[in-house]
Amino acid sequence: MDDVDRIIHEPARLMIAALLSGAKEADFLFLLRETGLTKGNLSSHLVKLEDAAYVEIEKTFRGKVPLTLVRLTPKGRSALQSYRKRMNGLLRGL
Amino acid sequence: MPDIDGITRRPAEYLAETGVPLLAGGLVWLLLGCSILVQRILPNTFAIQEAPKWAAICCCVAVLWLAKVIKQRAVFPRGGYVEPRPHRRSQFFLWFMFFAAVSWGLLAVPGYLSVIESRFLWPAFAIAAGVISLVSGWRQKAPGMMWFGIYVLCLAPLLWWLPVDNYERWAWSQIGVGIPIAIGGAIRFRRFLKANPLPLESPHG
Repeated sequence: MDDVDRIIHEPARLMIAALLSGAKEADFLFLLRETGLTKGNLSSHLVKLEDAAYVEIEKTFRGKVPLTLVRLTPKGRSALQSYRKRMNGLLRGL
Repeated sequence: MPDIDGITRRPAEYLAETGVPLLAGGLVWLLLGCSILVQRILPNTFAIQEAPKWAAICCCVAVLWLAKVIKQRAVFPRGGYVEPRPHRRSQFFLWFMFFAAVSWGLLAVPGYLSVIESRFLWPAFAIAAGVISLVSGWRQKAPGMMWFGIYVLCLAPLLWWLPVDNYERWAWSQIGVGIPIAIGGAIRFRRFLKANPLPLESPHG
């Protein structure tokens, strides 16, 4: 279990990464709605994923409304795939 | 372990849940079908026959543009913005089913031109589309899609029975498919608007 990626392993971050893997990009509101997390909680998880270079965050505006766009990086995508393979292997071994 | 495949499908499902793609798609089918029927009641000169066709194409472009505006103004501020990645496996499955149905139609009977003129052509397409909808609905556990498949299967004998030529039968099949899709889309869109009021403050962190 030691080689399991702890950043992805946390349920909320796993959900964020899985949601972003099905999208080219998504905004903060979509992630908030789909994960059911609070704003602060989602922000802190996104910061952790960004620090690990698993997601990139772009703060922009649509008209006068602020817009936070989030994308999964290639590193994040491969981390998610590796995590899935590792977990499937572990669960199969039980 | 959570259902990661299910979560990965959510961006595409979310857009379908808003009803806007269905509404736009249904209206496009309806407009194209109606343009053929309008052609039939107009005098048979080149310019007059071309007019409804190009009017329908312009209307379809307008509908697609309107759908984009509705998504930006009414959907994304309520439920969030997402651009889904295309799901390669399901796209491949749909295209495979489509080409299999067409190839079967062309190859099964010698002299395929007679098939194109046959009154079985559009009912055969309706049956293929109905089966694709049923299988896709069953795979995605979507009862709405399965009901649509059953409806299209019921439409097939009606198309066969219609006392018109194949061009008009094509128009009726477009209208017959477009109307329920557009109604389904409108119902979903209304439901989405009711369930997702505009947030009072900016939700962006």
